[in-house]
Amino acid sequence: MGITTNCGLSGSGTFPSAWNDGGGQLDMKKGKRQASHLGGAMDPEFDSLTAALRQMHDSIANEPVPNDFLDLLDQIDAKISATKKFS
Amino acid sequence: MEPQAKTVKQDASDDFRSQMVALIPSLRAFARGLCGNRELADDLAQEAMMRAWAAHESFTPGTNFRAWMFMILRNQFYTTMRKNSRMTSWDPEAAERLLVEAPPQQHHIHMTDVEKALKKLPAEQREILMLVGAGGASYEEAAEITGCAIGTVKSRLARGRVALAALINGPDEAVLKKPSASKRVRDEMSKHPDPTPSI
Repeated sequence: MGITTNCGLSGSGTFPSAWNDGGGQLDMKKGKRQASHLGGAMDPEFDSLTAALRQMHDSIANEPVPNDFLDLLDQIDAKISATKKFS
Repeated sequence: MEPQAKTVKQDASDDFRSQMVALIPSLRAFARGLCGNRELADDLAQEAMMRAWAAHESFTPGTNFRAWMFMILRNQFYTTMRKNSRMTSWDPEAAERLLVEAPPQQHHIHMTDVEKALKKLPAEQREILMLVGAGGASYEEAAEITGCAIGTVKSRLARGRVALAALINGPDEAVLKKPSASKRVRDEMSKHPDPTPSI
């Protein structure tokens, strides 16, 4: 699902954005998220600066999620479980 | 507490957790863009998640969760930046040297050049470039996260783009001469007078 926005100052257009909740999926097993807007319709006036910024964002977002984050989520899960147990 | 109320609360916690998991990649990317350091960025993102979880009962379901999380991360960044000298900070002298060195013009912009150049920008421009330019946030969302007016967001985005382009491609007269640079920013802003996106 796309979002229409003025994404930069060189033009506007429709693209499925990383900002859009309906976009990318996080696969915790693989630890990777599929970038949400890579396959989207690109703005015909999409400038190279915005493209480079988006590429930088996506390259980080597509990195495997470090184990530290998974450990943190485990802690949160434990708290949720504890809440359920005592409720 | 009534059993039904407890179930609702547990479901809310599960939803909150799910939304936070989905945001991890974007949080990491925004944090990396802000501080320019992988380890520090991940620390920032995790700290923001912990703070968000600690305050999850204060979040109003149905409001913009992503903006709320990014706001927490941003606040954490500025708090940490004040305490930590390793954080990237605006270095006008370094930026000036880069402007004067004037690398050859290139049509294609390399991602690593953008990363390096971003570190030279003031944080208030960097965060807007990361939110709107890199992450695709609307002006309204960026304004909500940064606590600025939409006009300020547009101005910082325009100035950030001009500065970033100058750092990457080298100076031109429009960037080095302040009056011309201002005109260039106004020209950029005038291209998009209406910031309202249609979803």
